[in-house]
Parts: sequence; structure tokens; C-alpha cells
Amino acid sequence: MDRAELICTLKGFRFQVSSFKFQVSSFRFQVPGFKFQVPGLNFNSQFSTLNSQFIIPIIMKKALFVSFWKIGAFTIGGGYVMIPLMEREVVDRRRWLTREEFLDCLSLSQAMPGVFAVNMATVIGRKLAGFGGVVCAVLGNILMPIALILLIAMTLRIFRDNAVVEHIFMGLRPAVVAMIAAPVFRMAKAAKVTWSNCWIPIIAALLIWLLGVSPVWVILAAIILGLLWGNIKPTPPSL
Amino acid sequence: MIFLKLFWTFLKIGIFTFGGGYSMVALIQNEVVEKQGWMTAQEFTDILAISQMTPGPMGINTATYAGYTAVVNSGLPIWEGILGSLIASFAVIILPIIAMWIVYSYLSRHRDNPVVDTMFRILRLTVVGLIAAAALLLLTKESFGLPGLNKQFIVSIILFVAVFYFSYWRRTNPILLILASGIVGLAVYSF
Repeated sequence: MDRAELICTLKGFRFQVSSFKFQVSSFRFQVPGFKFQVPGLNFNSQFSTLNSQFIIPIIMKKALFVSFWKIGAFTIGGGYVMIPLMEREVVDRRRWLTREEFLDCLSLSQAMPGVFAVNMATVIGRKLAGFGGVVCAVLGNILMPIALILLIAMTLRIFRDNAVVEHIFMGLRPAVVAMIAAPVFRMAKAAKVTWSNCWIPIIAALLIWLLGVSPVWVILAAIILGLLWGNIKPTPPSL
Repeated sequence: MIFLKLFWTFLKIGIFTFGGGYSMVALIQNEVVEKQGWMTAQEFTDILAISQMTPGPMGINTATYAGYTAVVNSGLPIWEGILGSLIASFAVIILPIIAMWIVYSYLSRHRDNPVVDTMFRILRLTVVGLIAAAALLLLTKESFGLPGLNKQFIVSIILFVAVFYFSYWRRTNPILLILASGIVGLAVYSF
């Protein structure tokens, strides 16, 4: 049997063998009398209740925190850049999820509102360790970025009127606009924009840009339009 | 009470953001720059530049930075700015997390439901328009200089085209592009 497919269920928590082995064996030295045999999955510990109810969830949450801390602190350029790193960490290294489960989490996080990376942390944290898992994964993910941004914001305010800083930003501003324009065309491909349905993004953009309509209303209108369309004719325009 | 306003504003931004950080840009711009007037469009563009080149999710970075700037711009001390940034980033994630929690079991069962599927496809199309609007809204004289044959405008247009080319066709790392355009700006405008 493939190692990654071995899953043991323990008081509602799912672990895959490899990640289990890694975590518990590192703990063995701290709890005397704890016997843990990996090959047959025999739990012969005198502390097994204690372990399954108390210690192992804590290890799990700590591991979630550390993993998502790494994912948050070492990816530059937004949520979607995090996908490969998350996949490596969650699927390949820790083996918490299979690739299919990971893809399900991904599509759910993309579909739901909010910050993509935080949504991923929420759904994976919940899958693995419930409410505490969500808190640990999300906190781990956003802690480092928030601290860094605050540091930069405070520093830059002091140097705001400095000529060098101003010159750097004069170069940065058009670049930022270009970097937001590029995803429009990339996303247009992913969302399957065609000649017959391109009126939806165009009208949305014009409403916000020229008429100053709040994007909130545009999103709400899109949801209502989508629900109506789905009820009348459950295939979206030319798809 | 600016903190309550901040909380409410970013609560709205969080729950109405579909499709990642870039679609959040139009929302934050609309709320923070146009409706509340907490900062200028130029400051907002600077915030976007910083958020893109620092690690972490762009939505969190932008919310943190915008929260801080909004509070400090209204004349309050730095520690209240820090409080503001924490409130903004908390507000931006809390509703989506609750929504995720509730919908998690439901949606994973109904993902193949044609109505839900159609709704998400229309939503995805709309998000493309949202991001386009964000880019269009940032095409201002604050970020490009006054149109005409002056140095800043020409340099800005060249930078825009070059960064677009590298970002779209060459898929260059965004931090590299930001660093490069910062260096270009420094070199061109300092000498």
C-alpha cells in the first residue's frame, strides 16, 4: 500500500501516516513511557487517551501554524503565488491532504469571497484540526506580513518627503498600474471570456470606472444575474 | 469614530472580494479613496506598490497598510495607526472565514449543482471587469504625470509598456519588476 494513502482516524482527526510518524516520534523523548510503533499502527501508549485528546491536536495546531507561517512569510506577490508553496508543504512534505483534496480546497477558496490565502488556511485548518486549526493556520499566515507592512508603513512615513523616496515611487506608480492591467488579460483567459459574453466584464468595468458605481453593487448584481440565469437556462453565455 | 468606520468599511471589502487581491483593489479604491477620502489616489498607488513587493497575501497587506495610513492621515498618533491596521486586517478576513466555515460542508456537496456553477461563472466574468476597472481608475495624472511631452509622462508610458510586456508575456517575477522600475525611477528623476 502506498504510504501516502494510509490514513488513520483518531478521535475525529485525520492523519496520514508519514506526517504522524514525524510528529509523534519527535515527541517521544518528552513523554516517558510513550510507545509508538509505526509499521502496524499500534498505539500501545499508556498515555494514549491523553495523547489523542490533548497532545496530538496541539502538535497538529503547532504544525499548522508553522507551515502557514512559512507560506505567508516567504511568498511575495499575492495569494496565487502561494499555491505551489502550499502544495509542496501540505501535500508533499506534511502529507496532510491528497492532491485531489488539495484541489478541492483550492477551488472552494477561489469561489468564496475574501483573501485567497486566508481562505485556504481556513479550509485546510478546519479539515485538519477544527476551530483551533483555523485560528492557528490563519494567524500563522498573516502574522509576518502584517508586522512587516507596519514596519514599512511607519518607516516610509518618516521619509515620505525625501527626494530619493519620491523618485523611486515616481518610477513605481506606472509599473503598478501595468501589473494590475496584466492580470486582466490572464484572468480573462481563465474565466473563458468570449465575444458573446465579453459584455459582462466590459459593463462591470465601465460602471465602476465611468459611473463610479461601487463594486459591491456590481458583485451583487452578478450574483443575482448568475442565480437567475442558472434557474432559467443552466448554461452560462456561450460556455 | 474612525475605527468603527474602518471596521465597517473593511468588513464590506472582505465579503465582496471575489477572485483574489487584484479584484480587491477596485473595492478598496472606491471605499477608501473616493467615498471616505482617507487618502489620495497617489498614496493608494504607493500602498499597492509596497503591498506587492512585501511577502504575504496582497489583500492582507493592502488592508493593513491602508488601515494604518487612514488613521495616521486623520492626525492620530502612531499607536492608534497600528490599532487601525489591525482592525482593518481583522475586518477583512473575519466574514470570509465565517462564510467559509458555514459553506464548507454545503458547497463541497453542491459544487456540481448547475445553478451554483452558473453563478460562479458569471461571477468570474464580472471579476475580470472589476480588475480592469481598478487598472483604469489608477490611470491618473498622479501616477503618470501630466499628459504631454514632458519627462515624467514619457518615462511613465515607457515604464508602463515595459512592465506590462514583462508581466504578461514573460511572466517575470513581480518583485523583480517593482525593484527594476524603482531603480529606473531613481536613476531618471535624480539626474
